[in-house]
Amino acid sequence: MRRNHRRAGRIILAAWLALSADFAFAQKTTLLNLEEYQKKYPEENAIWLSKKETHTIKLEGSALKVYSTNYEEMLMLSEKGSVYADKSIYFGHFNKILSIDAKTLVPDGKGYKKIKVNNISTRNDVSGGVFFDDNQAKSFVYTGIQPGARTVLSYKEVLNEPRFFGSFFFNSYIPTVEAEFSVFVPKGVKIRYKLFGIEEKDLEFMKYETGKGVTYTWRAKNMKRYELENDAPNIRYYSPHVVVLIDEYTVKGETRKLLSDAAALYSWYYSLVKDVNTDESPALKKVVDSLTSGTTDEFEKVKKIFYWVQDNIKYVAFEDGLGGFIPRQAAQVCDKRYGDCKDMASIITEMLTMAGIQSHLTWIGSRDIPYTYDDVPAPLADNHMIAAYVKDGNYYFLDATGPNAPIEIHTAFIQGKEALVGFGENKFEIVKVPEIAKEKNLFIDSAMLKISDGKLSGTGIAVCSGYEKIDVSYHMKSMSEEDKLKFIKGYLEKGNNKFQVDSLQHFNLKDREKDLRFMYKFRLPDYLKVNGNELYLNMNLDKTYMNDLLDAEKRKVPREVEYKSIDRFVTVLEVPQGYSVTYLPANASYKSKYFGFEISYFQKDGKIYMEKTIYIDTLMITPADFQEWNKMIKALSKAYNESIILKKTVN
Amino acid sequence: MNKFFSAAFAALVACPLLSFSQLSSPEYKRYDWEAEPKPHALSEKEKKENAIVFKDKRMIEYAYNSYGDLIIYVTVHKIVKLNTDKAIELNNKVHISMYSVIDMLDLKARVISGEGKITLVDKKNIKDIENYDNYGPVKLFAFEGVELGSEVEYLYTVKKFAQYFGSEIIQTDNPKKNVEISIISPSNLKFEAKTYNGFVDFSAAKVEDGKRIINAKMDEVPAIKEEKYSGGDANRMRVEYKLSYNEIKGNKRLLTWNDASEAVYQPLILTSKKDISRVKGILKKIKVDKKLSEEEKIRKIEGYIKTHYVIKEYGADEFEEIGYIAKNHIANTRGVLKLFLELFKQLDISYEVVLTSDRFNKKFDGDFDSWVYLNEYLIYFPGIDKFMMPGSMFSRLGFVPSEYTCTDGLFIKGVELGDYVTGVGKIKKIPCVDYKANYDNIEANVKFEEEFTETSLHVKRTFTGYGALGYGQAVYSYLSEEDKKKTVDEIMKFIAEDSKVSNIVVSNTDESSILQKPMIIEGDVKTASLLEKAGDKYLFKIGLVIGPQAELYQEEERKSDAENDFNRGYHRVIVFEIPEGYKVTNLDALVMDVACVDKDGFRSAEFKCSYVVEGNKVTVTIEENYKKIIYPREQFEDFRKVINAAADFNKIVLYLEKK
Repeated sequence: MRRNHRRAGRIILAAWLALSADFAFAQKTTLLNLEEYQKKYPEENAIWLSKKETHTIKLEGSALKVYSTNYEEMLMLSEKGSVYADKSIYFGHFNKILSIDAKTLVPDGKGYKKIKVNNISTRNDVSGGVFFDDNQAKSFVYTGIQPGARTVLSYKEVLNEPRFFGSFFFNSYIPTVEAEFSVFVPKGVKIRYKLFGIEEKDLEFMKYETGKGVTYTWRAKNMKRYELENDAPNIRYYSPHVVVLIDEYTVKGETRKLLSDAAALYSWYYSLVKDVNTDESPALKKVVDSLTSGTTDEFEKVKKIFYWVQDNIKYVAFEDGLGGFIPRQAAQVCDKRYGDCKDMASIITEMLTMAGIQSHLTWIGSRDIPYTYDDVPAPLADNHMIAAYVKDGNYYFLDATGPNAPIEIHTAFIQGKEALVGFGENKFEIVKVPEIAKEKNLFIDSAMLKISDGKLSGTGIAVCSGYEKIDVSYHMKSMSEEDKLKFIKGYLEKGNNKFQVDSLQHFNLKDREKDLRFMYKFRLPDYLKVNGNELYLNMNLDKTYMNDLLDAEKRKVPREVEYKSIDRFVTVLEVPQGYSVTYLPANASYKSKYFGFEISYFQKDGKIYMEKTIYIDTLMITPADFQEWNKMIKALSKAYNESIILKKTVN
Repeated sequence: MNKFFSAAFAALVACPLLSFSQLSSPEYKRYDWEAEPKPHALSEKEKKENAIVFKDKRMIEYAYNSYGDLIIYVTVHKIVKLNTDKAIELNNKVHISMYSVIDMLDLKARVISGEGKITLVDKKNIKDIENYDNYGPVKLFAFEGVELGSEVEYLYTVKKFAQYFGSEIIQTDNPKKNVEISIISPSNLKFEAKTYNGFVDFSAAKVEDGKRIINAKMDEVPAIKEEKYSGGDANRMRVEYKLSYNEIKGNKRLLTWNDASEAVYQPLILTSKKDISRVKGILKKIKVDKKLSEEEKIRKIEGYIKTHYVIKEYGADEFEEIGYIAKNHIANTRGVLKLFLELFKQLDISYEVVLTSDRFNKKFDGDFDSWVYLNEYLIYFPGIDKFMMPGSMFSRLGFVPSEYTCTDGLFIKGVELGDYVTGVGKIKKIPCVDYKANYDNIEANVKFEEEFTETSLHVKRTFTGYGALGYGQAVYSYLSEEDKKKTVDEIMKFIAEDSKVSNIVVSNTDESSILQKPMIIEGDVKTASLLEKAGDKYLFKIGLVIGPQAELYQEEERKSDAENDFNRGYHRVIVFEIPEGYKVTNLDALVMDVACVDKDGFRSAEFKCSYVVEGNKVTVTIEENYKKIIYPREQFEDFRKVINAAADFNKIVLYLEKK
């Protein structure tokens, strides 16, 4: 049914993967009392005894590097601890693994017997949807795992780009007895830090100063495992973690800014893009000329160019060292007809420049990242690049990775986020990307029902706009005709799974600025209930959000909403000859600031009408809203359970 | 298939003397793509497809290198026209596995636009990845300049280490034209090929210039569409080929099932005294009571090993060595198989080693002795006529994963001739498990709460056999308490998402109960979803009490037989009381009997429903059984009716009216 495509993809596993950074802590190898731990954690197969990261910032020549020792130690509490036997350590262009020491400590009377890991293999870690990725992983398997065994890993690495330092999560997918993050900051280096999801009073924080510098340490004890819930936002929104950024450092009397503020971040970004598109490509110019010839209005030209990129440049993701941060030349992107987000930003800005129109390379973090530039002026806050165009003071965010969208509707996953818009050297603005209003994202489905010979059939018109349309048309456009029809039938299914479509037309699929429309004829066997002289019909053919309750007691994690929306359903029944209406359900409604619904029934000209509207006016339903949400869902679900009654009056 | 034959059988392919000086150049050197390609025109029908493959040519050429070793040149040439964005997304990147490849001899690729403009892929943009997510080395590139209506074309030849068996899958979800496969070998080596699912037969061999060529060519290969309840990939047109004769070695058939039996069996048997005594040590720890029956002994061994040892498919050679396994409790499939076999030997339990393949991938074909079919190991115990899968942690004796049942396999029996041990093989059937062993049952007592606001149910779900494995009987004890609760809650919410679940008791998930006793989940469920209202009448959606049912409502022309995972039965009893002062006017809606009846009168699939009224109490009994795996296409309609009967039951509503 139609809700599915919206909620798909928010799989819990994503959260697991997001926390692949690993950590820990050294302990004496005296035999631990296993039973004590088993009693304390009766529900767990394993726990982290410690996760510890120790970082040393070091000036080498005129560059800063970060040397790290990462330590982690897991205690197996049951036979099933073996599910944690596999381990991978990730590295890429910017960090190198210097050494790995991994072993299992197997209980052996009074102490432990050591089993060292010898077999460490290297593989390319290709993340989903990425075409080429230079990230790699060192992988191995701990052996000798049994209850009471401890797996101990210590590895050293060096980070060559200090701007990618550093963040640390205090919790994990299993409980953590002790988590510690410490950084040694030499004299002449300035850092800043900020805590998320936890307050300083709930941690042990230490600052230790010597002549050489300052060591900062954050330590958390007895951290619960993190909660994994459906439709949850990224764990950065709610998992306790610390972010440490290197502001600036002094070398030979000269201060070099790294991430002291957004200006410093921008200045680095600018240095990466300043040489992009310095030469004009005649081939691309030809494309621009043919697109804009005959158009005088600037905004029309912008649209033509942006839409051309949406339609013609396919999204292919690359992760290739610093190449992951530098857009390719527009000419190259044009020839290849593919690119990643920054390549698309590059070609859009270049094409607009060729058309004599100003536009701007723009950095942004998707909604997976909760940080503002004020809090975290660092690459940690960004994972995406787009182009921006300003018209009469209004910003348009041109993100061609979302195909099929009209220029006013930017991709859903950047709504509400701050964008870092470049205006040349040392000039930038931070602009908030608007959340698209619910009135723009409509789904309206009207069905005219007829009963003949005790069977239900009807005609319908469905209209969708905004993100609803973008999603649906994106799926449809890429399909063969046959697959399209199958998809629409599934999309419009209502009543029960015997819903049969007899004819179907769709309109405006290719016109991104108009609403997508469907006209269809259908039959709905086994839906109308016949009881002697009476007919029962539930006019709620669509039961979107039925019983969609949130666990207000247990769930601590918000529910993310992809976009604000209004759904409207109208069902009209022609009262058949010889029948009269003996029962119409009462109207129902529930309204609150962020969500609500309204259902009303009325009779007019021999027809029964049911009109239903549901709105969602927020991108995040927080635990504070759960009670209210459940109230609405209960009222809605109750209303969904009501049927009308028609009674035979003439035989 | 495992590496065990590559080195051991090098002698089989010995080349004729003097031939080194006569090495003729491989065929790929004479093959090229069109110098000036023109875009292909599409018929109206073809325009509706996502993509059309206009060429699919594969040349597999065996040849001796200058050392007299056999190698293969594999040439692949494809042209695909892309009609939709989806087709572009699926086809604008190419990954070529470099697994066992010695050398990439040539690789070129180009895009031919709808207007005929040609864009070559720049060789600089072909990337090498050493170990692609643990799948080994890969070359990959993306086509440049692809638009709707473009054709993507690539041609490459790789030189690989010789393998004496191979498979080529022909049919995909896009229609193909000009499909051609050639297998070329030095004239002394005779390769045989067999085609499946309607792909055209290979031509008789042609011998030219010291080369033997067999060839199969088909102008049109239709697309294969996914169908529910089907044999899956096994239904695709495909080719299997193998080396059958080497003239120099005489006219003895090579690489037969018997050869396989010898080659497989011998290395599985422990000979080192040290290893045998290690296994004896493990046996001591397992503490198998001598008084146990043979079956009980096997279960004890299986349960112990599968819960105390970790089975990992990848990894180092030592995962196969008993010394390493005993110390580290980690083994690969062959390693754990060796361990099992020695344990059973120690207990005087006779066994046969069985090799077969996943019937949804390739149906084992005993008539064509390609070792490609020797994919998975099972152990057969003739004394109790049961099978076990050593490498599957979450299956147990009698219930090997169902894709390895209802199919044939190579059964290998050990033969001892003094100190010499070898295996003798025979093709036999791995039978299906009877439907009565695989139940998924529901008993539900339904009560309407006052004012008909909610329904309370006491529900008992009972699972046996594959039903129990499917619901996690063997995995359950591995879950954390929290996950256990979540899993069971999810299972008990089968009636409606809003269900509030309480007082849950889960039984028989300990090791000794797995597949021996039914897994039972019992508890209370409260939901508002079973009652609707029409004025002062209540509509009891009794059909939902059995949970959502699979359906085959869409009427499309059926292409393949229906094939099921396993035989199974569902026995459900729903009991409810008609509330005081109310009557139910349409109980007869609960009477159903739909069956698929074989020619001999056997009801091979059935959905039956009936009810009994005693006072206010109504007892509804539903029997649904699927007693065979394959329902041939001509029987599909009847099979469909049974599946749909269950889905139709979901829609039954009872009317509660005031008397």
